[in-house]
Amino acid sequence: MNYEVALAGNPNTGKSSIFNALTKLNQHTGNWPGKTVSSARGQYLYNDIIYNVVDTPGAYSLIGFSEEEIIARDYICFNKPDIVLAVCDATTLERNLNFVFSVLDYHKKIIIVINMIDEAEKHGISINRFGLLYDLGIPIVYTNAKNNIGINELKEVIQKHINNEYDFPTIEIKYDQLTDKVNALKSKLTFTENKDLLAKRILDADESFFKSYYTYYPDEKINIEFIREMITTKANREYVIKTNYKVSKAIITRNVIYNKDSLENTKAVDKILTSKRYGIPVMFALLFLIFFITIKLANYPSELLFVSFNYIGEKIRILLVLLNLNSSIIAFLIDGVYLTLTNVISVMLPPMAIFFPLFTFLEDLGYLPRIAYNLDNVMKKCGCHGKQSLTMCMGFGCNATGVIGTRIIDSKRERLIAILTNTFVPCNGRFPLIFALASTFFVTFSSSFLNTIIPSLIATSIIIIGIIITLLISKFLASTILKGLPSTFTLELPPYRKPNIIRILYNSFINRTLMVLKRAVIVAIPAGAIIFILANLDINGIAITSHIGNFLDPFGRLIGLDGIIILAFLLALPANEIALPLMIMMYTMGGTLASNSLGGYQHILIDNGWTIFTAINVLLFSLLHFPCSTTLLTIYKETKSIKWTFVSFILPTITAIIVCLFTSFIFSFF
Amino acid sequence: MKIDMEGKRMKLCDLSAGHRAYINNSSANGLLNERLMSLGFFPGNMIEAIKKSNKNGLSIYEISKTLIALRSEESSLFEVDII
Repeated sequence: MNYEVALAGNPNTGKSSIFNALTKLNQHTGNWPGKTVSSARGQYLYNDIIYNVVDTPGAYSLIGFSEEEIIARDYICFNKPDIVLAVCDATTLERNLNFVFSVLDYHKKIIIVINMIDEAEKHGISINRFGLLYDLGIPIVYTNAKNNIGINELKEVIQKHINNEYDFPTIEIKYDQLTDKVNALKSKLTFTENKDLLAKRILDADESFFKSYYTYYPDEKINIEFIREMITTKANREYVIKTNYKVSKAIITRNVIYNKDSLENTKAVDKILTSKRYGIPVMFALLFLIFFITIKLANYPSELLFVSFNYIGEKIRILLVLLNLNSSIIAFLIDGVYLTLTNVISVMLPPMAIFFPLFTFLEDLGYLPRIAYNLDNVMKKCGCHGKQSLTMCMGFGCNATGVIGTRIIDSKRERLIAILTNTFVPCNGRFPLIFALASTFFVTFSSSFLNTIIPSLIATSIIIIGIIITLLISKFLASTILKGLPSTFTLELPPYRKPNIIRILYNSFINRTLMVLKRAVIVAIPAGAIIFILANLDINGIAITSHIGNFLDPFGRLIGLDGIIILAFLLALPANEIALPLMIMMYTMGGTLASNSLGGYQHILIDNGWTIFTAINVLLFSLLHFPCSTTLLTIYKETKSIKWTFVSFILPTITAIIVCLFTSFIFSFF
Repeated sequence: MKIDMEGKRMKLCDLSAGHRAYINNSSANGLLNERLMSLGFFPGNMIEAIKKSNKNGLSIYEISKTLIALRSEESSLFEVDII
């Protein structure tokens, strides 16, 4: 026996924290039925029964406005989960109840989960839980999912409700003005099931609903066109929403007391963070601060990892020699596979383990929508959607995630712009290269103060260049191949919330750092092996890597790089994080990675003709070049178009070449 | 100042910061109207302008205890009566 539990709710209500608290680590991603869009799924065991939990996308209503809302609606309506958890936020209960009422249209068995109940207390909100229960006739559970409070009670209530242990009548909202119309429509519908619902949706003229309806009930084709002609949609919907809000307001007036303005602090903080004068400077200052902390702290664990891995590597080598293994196999295993792998980890792990929690902190604080707010003006001028800055923020974590995130943009044209330019935001795979080069090549000052802040300034400038290029290319796209009118835009600014530090550390380590590391390891092992073989096999006395490097060299030189750098970027297509270790490996001929620190890296690079200008060009090329294969695959999945996938490869590549051509031309004067 | 304005009808985009009003009429249509309504922007609901920006910027409104930012293109779709 197992049951299906769906999570639904407005954005920013902490749905995913409930999902995490319920399922712990038993999570996986599946696909929505009939769609390639992935869904978060997980399960838990309670009293020997398996509960499968499905997290639907956050939605403001269940009328199909965006793809995410259609997914949520179709799942709740047509896949008929055993129970729906409507996640609400105590501070915005009025609006959340409107959502609950729209869920009731599709599914009668629901539980209201009032999450972040600690916030409610802090903001002076007191809720009469039993009054609310009495008025709504829906089981109510208080949770503070971030701290695991109320989760056991929730599991118990889920079980009881599924077993029909609650017998109170669920609220039924009367839409008096529509009753006649609904009945008139019902009489025209010939089939038996879902009459009420169909009639209501015909009144809404929600076309996306009928599309889905036909897919799930192909036999029940109806001609709704003639019915729809008689209907004044807008007035009906306005009436429905008005009624919903009226009921929800009445219930809240009876049962909820707001002792003070719950948005008071948020408004005060927003005075600075969204102000015209300070908004953008504060944004870049925060970015700088994050880089500063990351670069400052990452060096020590990085060196430690280098030294320990080298030590362990030597011990393994001795062991393998004792085992009488062939010396070229030992070299292959240690100098090829092991050293590439450990170098990738040493360069990558420390900055990621520091950067991710810092970034998640800003995310949990509720700062990211403020970035969208601050950048809206300039985004609008460049023909992008205001929410593109949110998908750019996601790109910091991973460009593939950023591409998936563009689903929040409803207009297809603006979504494509956001997809095609997402790679100009450096993802976690490219940060290690940025950090490594910034903290070695740019610390040539006599003042230790400058040496501390310059690398972070360089990293911040790279991001700013990325943003400027994003805007320029977006503007270019919006005025050439992706012309069109700007679409509408609404942005919710959720209240600031105090992040839970322990949860941030845990989540960013488990969900982000380890995942990224896993991917890098999977790519680094075969890449290390291949490079080692290519570097040690020779044709006419010259290693194969050198042949390829020499072939690419004239082109590389032209844009201020060299053949090996180009080859490394090409080989790093599956995962950008291995680009720098691959360069080092190919430079140190014979495939031996002789470096044991970032400083060692720099020596190898300088010995191979690198200057500060090469470093700048590599930084720019890394920022602007083609996205990794995972991102390209995601773009194909999201756009279902080979053409746009190709554009998303070629457009950044051309941009990178043009920019590097330009900079190396400038540098040629020095 | 505030008293003089009472009951005055104007476009939402002209409502200055710190003033409250009831939404009287919306000329938003289709799915935009649906989204705005589900955020609380429907006739009869109370709204307060928290922060006003110039023509090109986003303005912040408080509605149903949430903060929503709108461009002037959207906020000009609503007629409001100042309280």
